[in-house]
Amino acid sequence: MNREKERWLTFLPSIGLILLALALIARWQSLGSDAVAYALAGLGVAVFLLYIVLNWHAVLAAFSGRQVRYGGNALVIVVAVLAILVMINFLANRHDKTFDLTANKQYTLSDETVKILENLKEPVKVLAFFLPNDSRQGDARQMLQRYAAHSKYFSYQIVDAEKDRAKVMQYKVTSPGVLVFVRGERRQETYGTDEQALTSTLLKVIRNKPKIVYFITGHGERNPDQYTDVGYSSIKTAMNNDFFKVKKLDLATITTTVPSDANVLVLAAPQKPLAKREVKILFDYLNKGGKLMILSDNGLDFSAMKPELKAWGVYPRADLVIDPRSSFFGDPTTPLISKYHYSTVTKDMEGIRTIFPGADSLEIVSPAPKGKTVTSLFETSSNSWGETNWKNAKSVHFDAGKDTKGPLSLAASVTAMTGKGRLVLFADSDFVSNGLLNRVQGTGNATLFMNALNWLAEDEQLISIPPKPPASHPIKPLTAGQRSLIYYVTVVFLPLLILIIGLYVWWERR
Amino acid sequence: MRNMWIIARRELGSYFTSPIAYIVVAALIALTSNFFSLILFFSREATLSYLFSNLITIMLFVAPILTMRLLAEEQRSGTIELLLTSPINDWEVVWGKWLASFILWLFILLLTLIYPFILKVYGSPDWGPIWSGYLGLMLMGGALLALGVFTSSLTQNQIVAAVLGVVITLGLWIVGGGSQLLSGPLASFLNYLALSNHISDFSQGVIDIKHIIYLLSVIFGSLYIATRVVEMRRWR
Repeated sequence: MNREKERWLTFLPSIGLILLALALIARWQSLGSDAVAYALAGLGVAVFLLYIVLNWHAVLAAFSGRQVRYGGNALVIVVAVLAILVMINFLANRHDKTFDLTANKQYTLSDETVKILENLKEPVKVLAFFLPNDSRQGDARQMLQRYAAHSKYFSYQIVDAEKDRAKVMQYKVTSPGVLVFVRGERRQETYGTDEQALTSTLLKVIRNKPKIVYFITGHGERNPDQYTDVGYSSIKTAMNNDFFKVKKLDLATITTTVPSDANVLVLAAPQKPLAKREVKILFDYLNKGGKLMILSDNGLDFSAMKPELKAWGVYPRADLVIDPRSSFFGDPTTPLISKYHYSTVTKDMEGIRTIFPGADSLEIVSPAPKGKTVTSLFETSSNSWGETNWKNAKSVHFDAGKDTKGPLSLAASVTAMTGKGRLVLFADSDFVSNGLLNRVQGTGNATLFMNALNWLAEDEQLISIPPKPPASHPIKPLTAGQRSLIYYVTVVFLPLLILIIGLYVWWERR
Repeated sequence: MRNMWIIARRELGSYFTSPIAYIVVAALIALTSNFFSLILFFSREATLSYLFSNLITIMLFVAPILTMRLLAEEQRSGTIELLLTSPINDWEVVWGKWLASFILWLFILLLTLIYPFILKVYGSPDWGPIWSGYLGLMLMGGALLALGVFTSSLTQNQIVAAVLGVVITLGLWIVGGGSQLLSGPLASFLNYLALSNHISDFSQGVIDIKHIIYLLSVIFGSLYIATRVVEMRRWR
């Protein structure tokens, strides 16, 4: 082999390296298409292979190390070996494969989500705004990574909500911890980081038409267009922001059934009982797979629809909830809730307060009617009771036999196993009135309402994604003796055993 | 390959006859056990995922101590000359020494199996994350030890080797934090480079091929450079 050829050969690995570097840059900067990056990478690898083939002896020597190297290319080969390692890692990172070993497939996306992601036709970008020390950031990153792995149109960015003020302003972020989904001009937000939250937000942002919510009118119901304290204009704004369109519907004007474009009907605190025909229209709609939200309140008369409601497993008692233990600033007629049962509606409410001024309580029919799943969403404290004689302020105390003892359910969701109908019943309507939302800061009342509305308006695709409660494998309660046993065996006995063996070996050798 | 085994056996022999190894392992187990009981008593959960991250954090400091002697001592005492002039390949020396420390690490992991056993007695743990966690620990420990072997090849002084090892492993552990100051490809590169980003998936029950490739690359890369360094000494 002549020297001239050898000199040329030493340049080959460097050329290969440059080509690989260019491939990485092309890929990262999205210059041109992926094909360009792949072509460059392929070329780089080819140059390396060429070098190895032409200079077989030197490469072999470099790896086995016994022979004296040819010229000064030892360093080049070290760099080349490292470059190959980097390349392998780069490829592994791009064509990632994961195996989920958890019992309930905690870290695997459902088929529905994967299908939605694979059908994406336009770029969707998620900006996750977090404070640097937010522990949810890691969860969000992992989830978004999983989403991004299924579609090249799905991308995400974790934004430091403290430092990146420009982005915070641009996306009108009001509180950190929010994930903003962006598709063109459309924006959609969520505070959840689980699959249900992310997929439903994704579905919303790729939807072109808003979902339609009809507020029933004609009986003095809460009015979404009214700006006074009793009105619902604030929650209407929240609904509009969440891509719902709010319309009104007078049941008396319809002859057969509710409009076909209705996604959800809301009956918000009717002051007068509904007529028989109206009740029939309402519950026909529900029984045929419709979605209905009813907001009851203290003093309202729901007896006109009692049999229908009982058939759905839940009924307002027309009493007044008195909760001396857990109430808002000591007003026992305003129960305060901070613990929720696990459900799709309440899963992100943990640690968030909701208050319900002047609520009545809900009777959950037990056992649940056939074909219905009834879930009480949250309850008042065990010290509370449902006061039946609430009109007379003097007689407000618990009367066994007449009043119902707490804990009392204040909200329930019902799902029909066949027909897909869904019902949410709240025992209060003040909790999302303008008066409360505008004057009382720091409650999760609006979130709770929107969660319920979103659950009712949920897409068919989402229904088969079950909420995954965080995996929990609690141990049996340990007695003091068991604790000591565990502690002494692991912390004292085991290390001591190692030391004794060591001492023995050392002694033997002396 | 056979020579590698001979070297590994010899090193393992000196591990098990020196009191230092027993003291280090006993201290490691005592510390880990302490974490285990505290986590168990407070979380009341039959899980090891929190423990695994603690164990690997301890290992960041212990690994360089276990490996500091391997090559540095041979160079100080001059016995490396004997090894290098014997009919054993350089890579066999380096890999053999790493293998000895790795087997010691496997032995330590074997001792920690008492934790899942206790969890089994008092609860019903999800075994998937436990086994994947152990796979992650094995590989991460192997990578930390390989980095330690590399720093041990650089110097004749064991203490220098250990300190250098801690600096390098810690540096590689936290380098991902730098990504917060940056954005774009460099940030994702640093994130990928950081050792700390390649262990949590394992302990949560997810086996991700890229983490395995990464950790094997760290092992191979470190030992490859260590081999080159050992070999370079012969020129002088």
